[in-house]
Parts: sequence; C-alpha cells; structure tokens
Amino acid sequence: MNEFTAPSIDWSALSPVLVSLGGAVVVLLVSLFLPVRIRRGFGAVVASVCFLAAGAAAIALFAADETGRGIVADALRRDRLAELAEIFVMGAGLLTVGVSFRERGGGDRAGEYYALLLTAASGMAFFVSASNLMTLFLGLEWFSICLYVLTAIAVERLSGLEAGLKYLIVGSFGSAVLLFGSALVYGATGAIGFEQIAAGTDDAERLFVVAGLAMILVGLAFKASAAPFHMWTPDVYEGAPTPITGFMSAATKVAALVVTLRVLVTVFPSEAELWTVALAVIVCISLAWGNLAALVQTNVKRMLAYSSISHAGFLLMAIAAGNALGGRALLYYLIAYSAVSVGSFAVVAIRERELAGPVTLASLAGFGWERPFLGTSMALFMFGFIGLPPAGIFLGKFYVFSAVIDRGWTWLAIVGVVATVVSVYYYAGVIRAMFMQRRELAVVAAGGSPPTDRALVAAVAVAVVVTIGSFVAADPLLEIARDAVALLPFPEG
Amino acid sequence: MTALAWTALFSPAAAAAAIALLGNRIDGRGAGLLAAGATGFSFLCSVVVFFDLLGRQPEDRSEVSTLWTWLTAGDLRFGAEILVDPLSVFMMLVVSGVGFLILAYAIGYMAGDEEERRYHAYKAFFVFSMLLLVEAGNFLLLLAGWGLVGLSSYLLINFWHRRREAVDAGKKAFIMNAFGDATFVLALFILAQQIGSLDFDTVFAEAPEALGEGSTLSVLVALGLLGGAVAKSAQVPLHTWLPDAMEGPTPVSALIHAATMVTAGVYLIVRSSPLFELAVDVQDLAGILGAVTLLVAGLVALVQTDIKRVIAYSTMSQIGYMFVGVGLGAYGASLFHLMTHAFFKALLFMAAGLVIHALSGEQDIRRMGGLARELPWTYRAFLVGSLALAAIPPFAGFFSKDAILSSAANSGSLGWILWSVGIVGAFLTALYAFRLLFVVFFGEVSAFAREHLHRGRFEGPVVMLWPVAVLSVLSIVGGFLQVPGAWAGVDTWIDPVAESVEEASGALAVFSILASLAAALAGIAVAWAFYRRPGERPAYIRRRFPGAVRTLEHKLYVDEAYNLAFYEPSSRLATWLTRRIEEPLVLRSLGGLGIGVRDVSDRVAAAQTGRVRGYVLALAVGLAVLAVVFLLVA
Repeated sequence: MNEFTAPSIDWSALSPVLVSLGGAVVVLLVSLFLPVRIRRGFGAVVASVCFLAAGAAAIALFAADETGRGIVADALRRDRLAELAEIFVMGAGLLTVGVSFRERGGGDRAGEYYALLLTAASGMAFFVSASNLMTLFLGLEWFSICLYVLTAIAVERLSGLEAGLKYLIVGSFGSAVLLFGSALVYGATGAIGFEQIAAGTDDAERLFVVAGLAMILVGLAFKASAAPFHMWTPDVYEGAPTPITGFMSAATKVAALVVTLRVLVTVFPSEAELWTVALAVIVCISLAWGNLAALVQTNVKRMLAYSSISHAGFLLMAIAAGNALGGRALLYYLIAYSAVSVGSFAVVAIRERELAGPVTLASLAGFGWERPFLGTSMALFMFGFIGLPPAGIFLGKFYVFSAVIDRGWTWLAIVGVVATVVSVYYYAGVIRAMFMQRRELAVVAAGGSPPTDRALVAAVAVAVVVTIGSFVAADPLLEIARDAVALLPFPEG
Repeated sequence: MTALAWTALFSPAAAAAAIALLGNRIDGRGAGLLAAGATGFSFLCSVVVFFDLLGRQPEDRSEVSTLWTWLTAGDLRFGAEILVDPLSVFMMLVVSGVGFLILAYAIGYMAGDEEERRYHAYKAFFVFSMLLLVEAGNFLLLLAGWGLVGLSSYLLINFWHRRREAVDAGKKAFIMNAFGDATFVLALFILAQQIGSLDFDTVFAEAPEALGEGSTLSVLVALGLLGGAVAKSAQVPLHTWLPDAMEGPTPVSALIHAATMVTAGVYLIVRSSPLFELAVDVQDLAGILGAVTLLVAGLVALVQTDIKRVIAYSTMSQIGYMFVGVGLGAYGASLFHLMTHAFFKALLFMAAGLVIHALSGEQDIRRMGGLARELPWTYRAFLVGSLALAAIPPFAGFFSKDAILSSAANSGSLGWILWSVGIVGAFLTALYAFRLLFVVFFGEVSAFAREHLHRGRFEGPVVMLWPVAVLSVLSIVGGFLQVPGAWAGVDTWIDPVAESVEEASGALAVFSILASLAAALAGIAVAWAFYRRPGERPAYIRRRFPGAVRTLEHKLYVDEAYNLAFYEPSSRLATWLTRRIEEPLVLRSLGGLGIGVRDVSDRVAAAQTGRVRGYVLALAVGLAVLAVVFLLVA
C-alpha cells in the first residue's frame, strides 16, 4: 500500500480563495462577541477589505501568470482565465457589500450574511480554477450551498424561505445531474483531470462520454440559468434579498460561464461539433423564452430575472462559436454585464426600501425625477441591457455576433438581433415608468424618501463607471480577455 | 506637450460633469464660474502648446498622441488619439479663447434664469465637443466631435424649451445637420472601405493611390465631406436653420452660431484638403456655394428687422467668404478670416446682447433707435464690430477679407468671378451692418426705448462688460497678424498642414484692396443716406420695388420651397400610407401580432407555475432530449 504524501501547496496561488474564506471565518467568529448594533458595520468593513484584498491578489496573479500551472497536485489550475473570473467575482462581491449595507432586517444575522457572501465568493474562486471533476463538483456545491442559505436569510419573509427551498431542491437535482455526468465520463476514460480526460476520450466508449457530456452541460447550463434549465431563476431571483439577487446574477453567471467555457474547450475538444450545436439550440431557447416571458412581467425584479435568462443566451452564444474570438467576446461581455446587473438590482433595492414593498413598473413612476442620479443610472443600465452605447454590452454583442458569424452561423447572429429588438420593449418600459409618467401617478414613499444611502450610491456609481468605461476602453479590455483565453486549446489556436 | 492638449480637451468635460453631478449643491453663478474657469484653463493650456510648437522647426510641428486603442475590428483600428499640429492648435486657441470670453459673459447674461446651471453645463459640454472636433487625430473622433457639437447646439437652441419657436428651431437645426452628418458618414464609409483606415496620416498618404485623382470615388468622398461642411456651416442650400437658431440665448448665438461651431465646415475642408485636391471640381463647388451664400445672405440681411437675425445672416455671408477662400485653396486666408470673424462677430452678438438686456428682451430693431446716447459704450463696441465687419482699415476684418479677395484675384477666371461676387458682397456687408447700427443707435430715442430702457450703474453687469472690451480690442488689432506685403503670420503658420495658393501682389493687390474698400465705403454711404434718421427713403424703395422687397423679406422663399418640395410631399405620402396601408393592413395585422406575442408571452409566463415538480420535470425533459439526441448522433 502506498504511503500518502501530501502534495506541495503553492499558498500564494490560492490567495484569492483563502483571503475571502479567512475573512468569512473572522466575520463569523468576531461578530459573536460584538454588540448587535455594530455587527453590520464590522461585517461590511471586513467583507469589503477581504474582497479588495482578494481582488488585488487575483490582479497580481494575473499580471504574473503567463503560462498557467497546476497547483495542489493538479487538482486546481492557476491561469489567467481563472484569475480574471476571480477579479469579476470579487468586484461583484464588493459592490454587493455596498448595496447590502442598509438592507433592512436581519440585524443580528449580519455576521452570517457577510460570512456567507465571502464564502460564496471564495467558492466561486475555487470553482473557476477547478481542473478536475472532483474539484469542479466541490466548488459548485461550495458556492451553491452558500447561495441557498443567502436566498432564505431573511427568515421572516415567507417568499424568501420559499425561494431558498426551491433553489435547494432544484439545485440539488442540477448538481446531481452534473455529478452523474462526471461519473460517466470517469467511467469511460478512467481519469478525472481535465487534460487526462481529453487525452483519453479517443480510446473510450463514446456512448458514455457523450452521455456524460450531455449531463455536465445540463448541470452547468442550470447554474448559468439558460433555458430550459432556468425554471428556478424567476422565483429565486424574486424571493432572494435584492442585493443577493444582484450578486447571483453577476457572480454566479461569471463563474458558471467561465467554467462552461473551460470544461467544454479543454475536456471535450473532440466532441466540439456536438456541444456547439447543442449550445446553439440552448441559446435559441433561452433567447426566445427569456424575452417572451419578460414582455409581460410587471414586477421589475422578475423582469430582470427573465432578462438574465436571455442574457445567458447571448453569453452562451459566445461559447457556442467555439473559437478564440468567442472566448474573448464572452469575457469582455461579462465585464459590462456584471456591472449593469449589480447596478440595476441596486436601484431596485433602494426603491424597494423606500416603498417597503415589491417594485413594479407602476411603483417606479416618478422615481427618475425624484432621484435623478439613480434614475439616470438605471436608464443607462437599461440601455446597457439592450446593448446600446455608451454601455460596453453594445460592443460585447458586436463581438459575440462576429464570433458566431466567423464560425459561419450568421443565422444565430440574426436570432440574437431579433431577440435584442424584442427586448427593447421591456427595458424601455422601465425608463418610461421612471421618467414619463404623469405627475399624478408618481409614487412617493410614505413619510418622504429616506436619506441618501451613500454606500449604495457609491456602488451604483462604480457600476456606471464600469459600464461606460468598458465601452470607452474597449480594446485594452479585449486585450486582457485575449490573454485570459490564450491558453485554452481552441481548434484554430 | 500632448498631455497639455489632452488636459485642454477634458477640462471643460470635467466641468460639465461636475455641474451635472453637483446638482443643487452649487448655485447658478458657481456653475458659470466653473464652466468659464475650465474653458479659460483650456485656453491657457492651448497657449502653452502653441508656444511649444512655435519653438520648433516648421516640419516638426505635428504630433499624434494616442491614449489607447479604442476598438479593433478586423484590420480596422481606431485609437483615442489627438493630433497636435499648427491647424489644430490654431483652432484650439480660437475655440477656447473666444469660448472663455463668451462663457464669462454668459455668467451675467443668464443670471437669474430658472435653469441657469443646465445652461452652463451644456455650454461647457459644447466647448469640449468643439475641442474634440478640432483636436481629433482621426476621422472617427472628428465625427464624434461633429455629432456632439450638433447635439449641444440642439440642446442650446431650444434651451428655453417652453417656447414653441425655440423647440421648432432646435428640431430644424438638428434635422438639417443630420442630413450633413449622413453625407459625412457615407464619405467615411468609402474611406474605410477603400483605404482600411480613418487615421489622417494614412488616409492622406494613401488616398491618391487608393481613390485616384479625379475618380468617381474621390469625387464622392469630397462631396460627402462637403455636404457635412455645408450643413454645419449653414451654407446654401442647407442654410435655413441658422437664422431660426437665434431663438437660443444670445451668448449661445455668439459662441456656437457665430464664432465656433458654424466655422467647423471651414476647418473640415482645410483639414481634409488633400482629399479635396483629388476632386478639384468639388473644391470649386465649395467656393461657388460660398459665393452664392454670401450674396444671398447679404441681400436678405438688408430687410431683416430682428437684431440677432441680421447678425445671423451676416454670419452666413462671412462664412461664405471663408468657403470662397477654401474653395480656391487660400487656406491661410480663410482661417485668418475665421479668427477675426470670431472676434468681431462675437463682439457684435455680445453688444447686441447688452442692448437686448437693457431693453428687457426686445429684439425688434423697429422699436429701437437713438440708443447711442443711452448706451454710449455699447454703441462704441457695436461701432468697432461693424467697422471690422465692413472691412474698414485698420480693423481686423479688413486684413482678412482682403486676403481672401486678393487670393481670388490671383486664381484664374473662376477666381475673378468669385472676386467680383465678393466685392458686391463687401458693398452689401457694409450696407446692412451700418443700416443696423444707424437704426438702433442713431436718431431720436424711440418711444419703446424710453419706456423700457433700464440700466444700472454701468451698461450691464461688469462680468458682461469686460469680455466685450477685450473683444473690441481684438477686433481692432487682430488683423495685424497678417499684413499684405509685409508679413503673413497665419499663412506661414498653417503652411505645413495645408499650403495656400499665392495671393496677388503688386498692382493687382492694390487694385483689389482699393476696389473692396470703395465698395465698403459706398455701402456705408448708402446706409448713411437712407437710415441715418428714420425717413422716407426706405419706404420709397419699398413702394417702388414691392416684389423684390417682399422676396427678400421671405428670405427668397427658400423655406417655402423646401416646405413644398420636401415636407409637403413626404407629409402627404405619410398621410396616404397611414390611411391606405398602415391603418387597414399593418395596424390590424400588427395588432394581431402583438396580441399573438402577448398570448405566447402569457403562456410562457404561465409555464412558471411556482411548483417545484414542474421545474424539475422541465430540467429532466431537457436533459433527456439532449442526451437522447447526443446518443443518437454518436
């Protein structure tokens, strides 16, 4: 019997994961000893510092890593793709702290709240650097469980509990599918490392590999909330505390899509014909389903949930292209998309707090005039979702479409354009609701608007800067995206 | 050095953003000070850049600075880059210098307006757009600046958005400019397709090869650019928006619709002169359009009764001179006139603004009269502006207009035709300028003025007076930058960018000068005879030539003609389409489509039952279908 030898561990390479996890431990333990009234502030400060530090560590690693390397006995992989995704996740986490700061209720659970947020981010950081099927599943469960709890953290709200439970049940099913697929692939190839599997698929029973691919694809598409695996999304997005919804729509999507890209391109290059077509179909369903369902929503959060499904379609389109341009387009798109997502949910959050109730199109009336900065920002985010300048999603869509056209799938780009046209209706509806309602219809908070929430406004301001900045600095960001996907084995290199 | 040019560009943008973000934490005056201060800072930066360039050899005076590459698509690459060369620095100085004076003046003019802050933010944003236009290092950024000045002009024309005329005028300006923008963009498409780049250097270097001299393509490119220039500079046939644009506040008219934006067309032609020289016919066309404009505008200005509209027509006619200049290749002379025009036209507008201010907003000159006694300093400023406009030595306009005319005299037969038009124009210019001066300031104090005139210790707030004083001085001495026969400051400065044709010299030059001087003096004499005091003579002319006067009063019926030629047919077509196509066919089917989509949407949304078993079922079915298809394919 072999003796177990512990693998050598490059701690610095793990720093983004460890810093956020460590922060979670600190918040959790220290809050126990703090009086309730300063727990929130303490948690927020520690969480911000940890997100900043983890983000900085990821940036430093990004700058240093050119070739990428396996760590912890090749169970994880440090490369620029992982580090860029970590930067996005930590950024989204930081903004979420700003948005959450004045969230009502759950005062004595503030410690748990921030600890779970940090743990979720840390799980995502782990997930995106996974390099075998075990760590992949581990990472997925790690951040998913945190999100289940966060969804239901406001236990006094029934809808939150319902959403958390639904997320847990459906999510477990999705994870099970992923795990089953992994088992099939392992059974066929006898390997769990991504590269070993890719090397072993030629001799393997193709039936098992393909079945495994289908299941892994479904498991990941589930996390990315692509149709028809999206059913949990509207309920969970609506029921979860709004800052958490914003975090999920940005960070979960980043993690799920980056991992989808990595797994499909590195593990299943030989089945590329299969998964690109499958993705194209999923893209079409997501675009159709998300947009059609969004058209009739009156609850803004729910509308944004469907919008997130349709954006999953656009993002998967980049992967479906199956070329390096698509990879670049995906990462570039994610920058602008994350900012717009977090920002728009932040605006919803503040309106929710003002009115102490759900935000509908009708209850947005007059908001744009009452809070000009937030209203204008929200209008910018809506333009951004549509894909109009000066938001980076405009160029993101441009590059996604050119990637699929490069592949020869002009029809898919046309589907995307039609979906964009349809989406104008409901995004513009928000702008109309905020700015163009008659004065008598304007909804004003009882007892006047609460004072400005500086942390939230700052988060929105950062989101605005990133949204516009990604448009203004398009080429430098695309260069970064190019570096990030440079090591993935795309067919034409 | 380029860092300073970038600073000059972004400082007004920062001011605009700051005013917008500060909201009501800053008062109107503070906003005005911020906007003017930022523009003044831009001017300082431009001055330093200017002296830096001055210290270099003429051939080293061009520098491109790229902050970053904005976008790459295939082989096309667009950078966020500016070009600092004699031409752009010249324009920067004019834009930020005159802009600073006018923004300072506006602090006083707009004081107390309900939406003062919005005004100052727009104004600073305009200066940024204009600087972007002149500093742009490639055609794409130039286009961005071009579009943004159009936008800020639109926003400022209908600044008083409760007045219907103002809103209409804004729309008119925007639509006419959009037409020019469209032709401009089409020209850029051709360039991008044929040359594969929109950088100035590359385009100008490769255009002779890629487009070919005199080829259809180069004619199309030049026509497209000319279309943009004509629309922005309000030349015939896209000129009708400018007089209406006078609905905006007076400092707006001074800055945008006299000194800077409307001269952008001249800048564009000078900047892309290598392209125009590939299509000489189009360049001639620019000169001819300029000549037609200067004549038409001069004639129409004779009968206008709104103080600002007279000056607006005079702006059109002076830009007509500049177009004559660039059409003949006298780039230096045109830019020289652009600069002096910026001085004296801004001066005239600001003096007119003082008059309007003193008369509680009245603009009709028939209600004015005898104001020289009441507003002596305003009168003096107006007199200086009028003398410069009429090109009387030694005022600034004399030297610059003379430079254009004497270049024309040296440019063959077309040159002689344009020269003669220019001489007639000089007569008209002097006539309408002094008609305005005499009617407003001479004679008895009118009843209206006696009743409404109000003035404080000075003829206006100090903050409005000192810019007027500075511009008066500039209108007097600005012409000595270039004195025929002695030195040619502007020509020499611009030569590395665009070499000008030679001006006439010797006897020819003297003849040209004397002819234009005689025309101007004749104009003043006629104005003196007719308008020195309200009298019978104008009425006599009116009785004698009723048709001609009415035609001029209707601005040659151009608006009516456009209405008839474009608006009426399209509106009738639209009505017909609405009645016959849209209502019976499209709306019904579209309504059906809408209901259909809604139906589907409702059903899709209803699939979201809220039951977990349904969700898991969807997931399972999706998975099953995917797996089966995969297995079948495999």
